[in-house]
Amino acid sequence: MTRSRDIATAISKAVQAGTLTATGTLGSSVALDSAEVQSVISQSYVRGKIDLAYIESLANSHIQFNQEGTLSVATGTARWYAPRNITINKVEGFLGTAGSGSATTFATLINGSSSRTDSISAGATTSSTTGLSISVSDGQYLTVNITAIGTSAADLSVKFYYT
Amino acid sequence: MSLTDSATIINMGQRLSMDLQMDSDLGSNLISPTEIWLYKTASDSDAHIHKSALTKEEIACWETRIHGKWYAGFTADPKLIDSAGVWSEIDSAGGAL
Repeated sequence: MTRSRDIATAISKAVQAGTLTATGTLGSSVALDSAEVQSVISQSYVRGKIDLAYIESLANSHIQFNQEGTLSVATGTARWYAPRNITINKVEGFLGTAGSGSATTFATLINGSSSRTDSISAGATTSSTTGLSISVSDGQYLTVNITAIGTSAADLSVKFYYT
Repeated sequence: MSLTDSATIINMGQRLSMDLQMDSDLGSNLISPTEIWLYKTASDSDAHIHKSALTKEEIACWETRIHGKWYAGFTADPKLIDSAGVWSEIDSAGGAL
């Protein structure tokens, strides 16, 4: 079910990018909480000079790394330490602006060692890999490196779902 | 002490590149980040900046390095250990980044 927070996040990102567009069809199950939407818009996606930043939803058990602006190959310094032993089961990548010519690739590192690499194809804005079983122990940390970029690719978000 | 002033939290979030967004599906209400615990250190020693040097609590820890300093943030009281004494807290009473 699409939740208010997801809708608000999409709106927020579109506003930040200056490309507020709507696609898809709202289903009957969508329940929009205007206060929640406004709150998310007010609090999230503050554009700035950022490295890799993070958003954690306590309820959804996911962590998100963001790199805003036009992308370049970068080693992420931002760390997120797992609060307990967790298992990552899904990795999603999102681009605000699709790259062209070649894929945009990002690597997930655990304690500084590469764990996996994911790609968002040229011309695409999303990637999703499910069925994963990546163990991260209490005290280990995640970082994300941007290892390759498509031309003009911008505003990368990488989301990890865990249990 | 923690950071509880919302404007300061947002400001610190911007400066530290830490956007904290917490919500609850169960209650369907957004829980605003009304309180964070924030620390900084000039140390670049992994023994000092590793989460285990800061807390033994079962909580997540966000860290990032800006202009040669490490910053660590928590959304619950980490009951700071810091046995090396290298971290200083940025709280509602002040503390420059």
